Amino acid sequence: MRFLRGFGRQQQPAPDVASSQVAKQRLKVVLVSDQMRVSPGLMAAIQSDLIDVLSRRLDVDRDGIEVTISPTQYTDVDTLTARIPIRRAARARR
Amino acid sequence: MAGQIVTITSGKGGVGKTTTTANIGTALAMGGRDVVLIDADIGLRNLDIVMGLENRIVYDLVDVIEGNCRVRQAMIRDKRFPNLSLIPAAQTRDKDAVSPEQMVELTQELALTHDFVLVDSPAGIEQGFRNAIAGAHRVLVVTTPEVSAVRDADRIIGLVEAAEIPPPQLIVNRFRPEMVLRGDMMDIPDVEEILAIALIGVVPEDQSIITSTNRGEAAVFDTYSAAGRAFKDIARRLQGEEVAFPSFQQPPVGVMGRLMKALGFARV
Repeated sequence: MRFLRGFGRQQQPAPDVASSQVAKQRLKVVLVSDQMRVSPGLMAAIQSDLIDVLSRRLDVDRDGIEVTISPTQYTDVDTLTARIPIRRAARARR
Repeated sequence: MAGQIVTITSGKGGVGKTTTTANIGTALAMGGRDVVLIDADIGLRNLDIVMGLENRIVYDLVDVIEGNCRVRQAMIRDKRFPNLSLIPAAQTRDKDAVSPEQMVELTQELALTHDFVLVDSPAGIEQGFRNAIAGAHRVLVVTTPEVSAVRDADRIIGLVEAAEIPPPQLIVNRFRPEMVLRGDMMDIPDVEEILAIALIGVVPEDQSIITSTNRGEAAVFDTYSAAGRAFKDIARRLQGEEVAFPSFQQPPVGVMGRLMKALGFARV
């Protein structure tokens, strides 16, 4: 009955994703917040808001999103950079 | 009646304190106990990611101590069990942001409303360790059957006894019976003889710990996990139950195994 083991898991990601890749993805998110000294809760909220807004117009790859805040060269401001893969580019929705 | 304050410590790093805390805490909650976990490793927060709660952190232990929030606000509720919660460590502060007296006060307050308060201690013997054991009714020392870990455990046991806390109890983690059979690893009685404290658990080395931690799940959910079963046994012993220590010596499997054994080749 091993195939039933994933049942009842409500947390993303789906159980058929290799656990090593789940670990890598979780670490990416948590390291960003560690480095930025912004709480992971806030980071996750920003990420989810960005996805929600963009998803209205585009087919966004939710699992491939990367949001970072890092210092900008030659200035004293931090910049938020979002890398959001689009599955089908510019497939506009009404 | 107030609940038990239990600190999980080790001296040496990397022997499994955090995994042990997460799994015992989850096992106690599965059994219906009200449990709160405190990550006392300020600056090197990890219990959150092992529990899969890293994205829910808003306030942390130092926020509670400094009065930036109420205790309730810093308690992150577990994904599955409403009777299990975590107070995460601060990630950007130092161990000296908290004093032993403040830890005593906090753990005692939490023990009024919970059956178990589990404190995950940092490695080492400095301030962080002293904070972690400050309020403890009971200390569990985690070691592995390796010389460095056992030596550090002995040091920790001495310090716990000097702190006038009842004698700590021992968890031997990452135990590998097949190596013991070959004579390549100290057996449990060897470790017990050296450390001379009561044994409360033996947890076999188990790959499922890595896969469950990858997903931020406790191994005690996995009925196939030998380590998960061992953690469940420890949780029962913590509640005063008598649970026999299972033998990890596996009998030879199948015809070939029996034949090999009969011929004098021990299965390794």
